[in-house]
Amino acid sequence: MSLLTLHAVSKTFGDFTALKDINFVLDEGEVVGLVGPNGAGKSTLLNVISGRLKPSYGEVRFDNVLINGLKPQRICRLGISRTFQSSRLFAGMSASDNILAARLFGKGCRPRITGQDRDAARRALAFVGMTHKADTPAGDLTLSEQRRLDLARALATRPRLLLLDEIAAGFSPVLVKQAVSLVKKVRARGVTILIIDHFLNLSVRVSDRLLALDHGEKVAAGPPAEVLRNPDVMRAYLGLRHEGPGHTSRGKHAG
Amino acid sequence: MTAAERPVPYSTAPRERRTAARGGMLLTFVALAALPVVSGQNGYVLQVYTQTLLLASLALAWNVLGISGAVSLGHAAFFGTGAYVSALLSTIQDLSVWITIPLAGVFAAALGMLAGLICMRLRGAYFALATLAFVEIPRVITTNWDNVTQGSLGLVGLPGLPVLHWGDWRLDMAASSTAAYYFVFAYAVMVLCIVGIIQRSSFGLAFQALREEETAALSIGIPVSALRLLALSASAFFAGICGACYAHLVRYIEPGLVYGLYFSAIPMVLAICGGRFTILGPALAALVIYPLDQFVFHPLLPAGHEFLYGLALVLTVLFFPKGFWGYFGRTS
Amino acid sequence: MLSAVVVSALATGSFYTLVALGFALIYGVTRNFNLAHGELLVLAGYTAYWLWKTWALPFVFTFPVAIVASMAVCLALQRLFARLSEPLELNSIVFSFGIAILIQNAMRLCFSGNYRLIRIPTLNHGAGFNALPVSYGQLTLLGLSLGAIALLYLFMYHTYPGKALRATIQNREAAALAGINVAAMGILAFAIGGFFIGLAGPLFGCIHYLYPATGPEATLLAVTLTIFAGVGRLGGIILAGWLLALAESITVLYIGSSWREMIPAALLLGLLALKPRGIFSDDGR
Repeated sequence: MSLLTLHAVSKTFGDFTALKDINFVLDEGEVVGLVGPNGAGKSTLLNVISGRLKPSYGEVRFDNVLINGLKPQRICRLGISRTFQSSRLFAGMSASDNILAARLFGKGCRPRITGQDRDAARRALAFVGMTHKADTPAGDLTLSEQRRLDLARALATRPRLLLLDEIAAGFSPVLVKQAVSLVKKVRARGVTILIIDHFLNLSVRVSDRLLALDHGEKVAAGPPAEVLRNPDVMRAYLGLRHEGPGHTSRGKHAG
Repeated sequence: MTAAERPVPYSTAPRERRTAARGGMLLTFVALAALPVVSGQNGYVLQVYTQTLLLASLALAWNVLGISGAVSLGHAAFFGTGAYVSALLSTIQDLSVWITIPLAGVFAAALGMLAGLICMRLRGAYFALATLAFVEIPRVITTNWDNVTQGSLGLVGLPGLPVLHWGDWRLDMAASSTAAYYFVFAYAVMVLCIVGIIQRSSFGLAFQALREEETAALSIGIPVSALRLLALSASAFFAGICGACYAHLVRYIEPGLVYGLYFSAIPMVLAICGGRFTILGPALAALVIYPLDQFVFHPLLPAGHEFLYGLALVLTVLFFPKGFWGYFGRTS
Repeated sequence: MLSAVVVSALATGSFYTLVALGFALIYGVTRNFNLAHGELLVLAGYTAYWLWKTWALPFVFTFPVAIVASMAVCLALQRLFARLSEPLELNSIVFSFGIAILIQNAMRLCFSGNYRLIRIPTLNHGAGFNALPVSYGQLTLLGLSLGAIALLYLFMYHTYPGKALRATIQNREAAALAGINVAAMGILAFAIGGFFIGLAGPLFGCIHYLYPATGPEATLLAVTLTIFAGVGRLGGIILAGWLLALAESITVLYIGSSWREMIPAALLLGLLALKPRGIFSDDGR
């Protein structure tokens, strides 16, 4: 059953095309990796889905509801939640308050903070292995703790679709392993996941499928092994451009 | 993982410190409540403290917005509008002051809503500059609408604060300065309680979230624009009531005064010096700074005593950016 | 009649430009909003008034003193502004608001609340063009503002420090990477800002009345013109000044003089509402 449908999604900034005619269907319960080199349009696509950007053309449907142009907080309430590449935690708030805020507003405002909410926040912290940091201001956490808290905060809005933006970027192999098992745990809860993964260190190990972008266009989609063998994907990552006339002019938009 | 099962305390603030803070609050409350008795027949002291509490309420009202991260340099717009609305309704329409004071709040809130809609997309410094300009609009309108407002001459002989009936028991707050003091005291406590309730609800978390990281706040479902508007109109509502109380307390208003720099500057200075991300800070700053001004600096320097507010603000920004209570006390 | 309105608007607009220049320059280079700008200007005006009244100094000679005094005060203030933490723009607003209150009360203490005016009768005399009703004062204002802009232009485009200043206005980080001492540029900006404040202050004293509480009016003018013209576009300020003065004249003519005060405020609000973060922002991406 399809959860998220992208139909002919395009995004332009002035005369620069960041996304061009993206068609993709994400099924419920799937884990999909969104890969591609720098400037491929991964973040733009994530911002379009989460409502920070409005697509210039095309349709984004979530659970058969048209969501393009909706405000981020509306999209969150419909059930799409995200993490951020660079830390956008509420730095002055404790880790548990970060989660509490997400829990209380993720599905509409609830003015009263109950003991149940606090317990849920504690469980959410335990889920990412950070119980002992409940009262630490988010700004004082380490990078890996911040990423985990960001994930816990996104989960606290009770999403059906979770968008993870470079959640393992810059991680050591040990931390990547932790991230892999964490994503698997999230998946076991029945949450559909889209992972942005520039370095391919996370998505190849947990994804059912990969979606590869280059210069704002879809170049391949399918099982990870297949996509990684795709010559266009290899070319995009390795920067090889000697193949054919169709690819020679592409490099100038990178960055 | 056994560590995960262990219950965790919700707040790290040391118990002794919290007890001390509560004790201090209680003591201040009792001292303020006992003030009319202690000060005896000294009308001046009572007058100063009535004004102190009014300014404390105004600073608290300012901070309803301030806690969301916005700095307003134009709260006189709401204070002045509240003063004029209540003054005009009670004189021309002959309405009871009991009704005109809340109505003043409603009008001020509507004006706050308007300001919020104009400044919807502005943040930080640009919002502050916009409020600086915004205050001119109700001021010039009030000044020019002179067939109703008497223009720059102002309104004199306004009705005093209302009379309280309870069966046979009767309290004329216009005649008794003690009663007026308690009236303003009650209002200040009420505003403080409301601010406290808001801050301890999920809205308190939301305001902190949106001032620290707006993008993330939106992404977890916080309706940022709506909350900003709400904060501004609530802040304007309470400031408007302060203005109305002022009008009936002093019984004389003019545009240059109630829309003047003083009533824009005072709440901002008090809130920032006290700690604009705290609940109590603004009120505490009022309790310290205004009496200091009136009892110490005013007799010394009758002409330039208000330099104290500038000095306090400058020192706070340079050395205690979180404000006094944010630095020494607990934040919210 | 119409020509008189236009001439007076041009002269008033030129005066507004002189009032705004220092503020715009300091903001452009250092990203500090100096809300004490108006108070500094009035202080310079009082300096001139005091020299002119008690020492009977000819008005022209009050300028150098006012300029030196303003530059000194501005440089002293710069030391404090440099200590502010992020967010710089907001903190500078709050901080300078405090400075404004301090200066205003100091002036109340030293000069009392009375209205003062530097009366120079010759400035009101007609300059003797029959067709064009122009006074010497209006000519002076026009000449001074155009001269100041020209001087600033020459400095900014034809000297090394001027070019460095422009680079800093355009992009602080890039300027710093290119080896420009951004901190020194801040000091320079405050010095030049002080120069213009010292130039405008005495004029303020002879066009407008001096009293301690009049500073915010000048500050609001300066903010409005700075946002109007866009950051660093110093040439745009004179145009903005003329347009504002013209809008005010039209308001006085057709609606009533009592509504004039609302024009700068309404203009600033409109600009901010339509162009958030100032007219110079590019709200893309």
